[in-house]
Amino acid sequence: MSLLRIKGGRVVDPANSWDGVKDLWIEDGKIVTAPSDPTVRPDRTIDATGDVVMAAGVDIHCHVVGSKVTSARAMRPEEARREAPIRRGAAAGARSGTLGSIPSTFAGAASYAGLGYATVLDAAIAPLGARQAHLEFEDTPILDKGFLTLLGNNHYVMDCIRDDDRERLRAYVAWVVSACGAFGVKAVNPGGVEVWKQGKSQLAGLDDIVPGFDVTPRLILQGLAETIESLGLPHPLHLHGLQLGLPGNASVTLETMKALEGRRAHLAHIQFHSYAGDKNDTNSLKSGVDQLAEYFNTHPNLSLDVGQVMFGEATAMTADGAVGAFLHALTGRKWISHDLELETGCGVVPITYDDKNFVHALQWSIGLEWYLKATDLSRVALSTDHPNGASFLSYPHVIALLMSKNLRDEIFSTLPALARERGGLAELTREYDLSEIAMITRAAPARLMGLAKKGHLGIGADGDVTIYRPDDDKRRMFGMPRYLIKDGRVVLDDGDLRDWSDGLTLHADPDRDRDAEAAIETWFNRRSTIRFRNFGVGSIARGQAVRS
Amino acid sequence: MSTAPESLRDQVCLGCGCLCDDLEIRFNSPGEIVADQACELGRETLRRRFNETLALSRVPIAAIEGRATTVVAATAAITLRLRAARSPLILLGEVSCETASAAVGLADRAGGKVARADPGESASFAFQRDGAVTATLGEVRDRSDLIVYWCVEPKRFPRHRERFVSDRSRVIEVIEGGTEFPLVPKGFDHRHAELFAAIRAVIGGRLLDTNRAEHALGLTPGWISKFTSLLTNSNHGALFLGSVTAIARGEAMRLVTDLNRDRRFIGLGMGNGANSEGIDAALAWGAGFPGSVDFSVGYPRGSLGELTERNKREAFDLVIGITSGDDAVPGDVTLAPNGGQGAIRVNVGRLGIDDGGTVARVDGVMLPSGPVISTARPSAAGICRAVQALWDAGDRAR
Repeated sequence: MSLLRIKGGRVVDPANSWDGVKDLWIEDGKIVTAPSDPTVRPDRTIDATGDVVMAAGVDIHCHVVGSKVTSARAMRPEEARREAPIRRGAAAGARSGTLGSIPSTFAGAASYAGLGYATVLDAAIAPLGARQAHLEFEDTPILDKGFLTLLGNNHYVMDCIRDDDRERLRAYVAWVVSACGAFGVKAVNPGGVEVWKQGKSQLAGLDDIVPGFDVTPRLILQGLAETIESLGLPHPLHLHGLQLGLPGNASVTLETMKALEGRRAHLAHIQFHSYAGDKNDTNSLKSGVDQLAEYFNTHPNLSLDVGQVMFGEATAMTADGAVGAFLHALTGRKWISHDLELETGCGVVPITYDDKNFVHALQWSIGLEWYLKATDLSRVALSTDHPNGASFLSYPHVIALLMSKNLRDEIFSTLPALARERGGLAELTREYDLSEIAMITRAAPARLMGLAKKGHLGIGADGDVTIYRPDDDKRRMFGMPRYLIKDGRVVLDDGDLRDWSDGLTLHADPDRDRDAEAAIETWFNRRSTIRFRNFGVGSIARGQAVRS
Repeated sequence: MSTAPESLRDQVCLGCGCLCDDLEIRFNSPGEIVADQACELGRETLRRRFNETLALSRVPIAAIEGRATTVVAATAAITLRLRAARSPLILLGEVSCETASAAVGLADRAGGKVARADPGESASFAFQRDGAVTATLGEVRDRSDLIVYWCVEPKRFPRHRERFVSDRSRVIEVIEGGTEFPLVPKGFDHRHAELFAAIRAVIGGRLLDTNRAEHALGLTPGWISKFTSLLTNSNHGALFLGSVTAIARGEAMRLVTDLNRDRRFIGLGMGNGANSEGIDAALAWGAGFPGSVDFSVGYPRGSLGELTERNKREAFDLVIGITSGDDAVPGDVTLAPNGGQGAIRVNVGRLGIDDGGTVARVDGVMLPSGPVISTARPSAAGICRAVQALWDAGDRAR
């Protein structure tokens, strides 16, 4: 039994419509009501008078583990050497690590904790890569974490959709999510990655046929969205749409939103899919946010994270193999391409976002435009698509930009003038308040992930709390929280990382159709180069099943 | 003593880089192991490791200065030695990803270095310079119409073609003494890079006198143009590289990248049964660098290529050698299936026999390996984690 009191802070808890001073009590890792007995003494009291208290941060879309992240780590030693490292501290179990855009696992966990985050969702793990992802999770302490597995170009999924066999599809998704220990499902350029792996041009539209499978992107995303809903997975289909990064892709993005026809879906890194202009002319690039935001704002089945671009060093990494090839051809920088049998692709390319580059400046502007034009923030999550648009370490800077038009204008004035003309950011005067920041960094991502006990500070919620010292410099305020409390343990203690205990691995637990799995096993053993028995990850260390 | 079930399906073979995972292992009698599906190399590897395990499981499990002791006492002694060391080195032989990860944790705590005993720099350096265009082996089987084995001895990878190459594919071998694309038998190693560069030049449309290049490289007339023509006429090709130098590997991977301008083409090594890829991955995810990592300044720094036989002896005041395989990894402290030669030694389980763990195929696919029998021997990963726990307990007590 441990009892912690957080005394006198300004509690900003938009999920419970609260913004005001009150005490928080945490007992055995959960938020509890204040003891009715006035003689009860907590084991520890943190005096948060004058401080801002929020639920701990939740990142709904990042890339922190798995084979593509670790391949990038191995490929980019120069970046790891260039950036200041995390030194091993004095706490028991403390670890050191490398930073840069792709931190090592321990450094990544420490850095997230250092920003007041306690839960992260890796957005793209191939089923075949699940075993490695779980090993890396075991080396990612402090945080609760989970991953989405990639099914948008999966051969079995496409076969089921072609045959319009929803029962078989349902059985397969339930099996593969369970076997991988995944939290949910992501579709990346559905059908398009398979086409690229075949050596053909990318699919242009939602109704183009995937050769050899006789399905279309529209059918794949509809089939997966429906199946995920019917299985009751905690998070809806997480969708990386078609034509990522290409001028003019806003029109296919709008068609994609419409194609969902009311089914729930989370639109990943929407910034990269919001470009108007001529697809054959990069110089024609302009913002396509207006029409997309208008649709998004009136369709509550949709949610999104932004994928904000920030200037500096990043690493593009995606299951959309064609994007990796495109970036390699564009930049000439080193390139990993790794196609995975029956499942997906993978591309990794270092990228430097340059504030003198018109395209990069416009991407920066388009991301902010999204945050400022979205009206229902309970469906919006802050992300940089770490490490694609920028490192998660830039979150405090993004927050500062959202809270200050002056800061936006200051930076905007240094960017290419064309970026001002082609975007809709300049005229936006909106400034987020603390409640809105808490919404997009905690309440919304937790709700969208189906994590009922995270992202808020109501009774019964997980004792995951961040305490900030108010500061006019919001980068400093959100970059250096005073405390992170995780499950009631003080992890970050007045700025010092003191507790390296392991967090949980969150995974879905759908109902399975065991009878249907014999057919899956037969198919798998015929088509894969590994055996069915060696595919599943087995028991998950510190695993916690999440049901919606 | 060991206990063994009657049979086990879909076990992973560590006999070569194929890591075939379809072995059915049976025990005809307590001392006889049989692996259905396995090739002769796989059967022999399994039989040898199994028999050695049975023999070694009867010797003392832990010893300090030659005296038998308990695993607990040995673990405590290792912790003390590590605490006292100013410059420890942890050398990793054939170990699982879990053991490699735990060893990184030890090096981090102790401010030491952790490195693969066989550092495999050629692959890492090429990868760090250019990246790689590659794929899992199933992609090759399902899509490649051209397979090139370059300096690959087929007998070292007996089931590679059967498992990863389609009958529809054109297969060519580039090897010393080969028939279609022979290489000169002597002194060719250093010229592989030049040959790959010449092929790149032809494919890139740059001026090249192929006759002169063929003469200089000791190739038969028409070799380069014929080979290049095969590459450019493929729709999806795969280059499997055997043993070549770091520079040649780099040029080969550049060739593969170049070929992707007009078609899909991938490059892969042949791998080994020593989990080199998995160990590199564990070092990279936990410490940011593959192959070799130095924590002596309080944080990790990649140190690939810095470890020599001489500085292994001179620069470190404690060497901990860890293997769960056949290789001998020397050290003052040794964790090995035969105990090793260290002053402190622990007779740990052998990966795939009486120890289980994750191993990576050359294409990055990770597989579970063993155990197929249980013995009293601890796992190397377990010992490393126990030392970590003792270290952390000591930190808490301070």
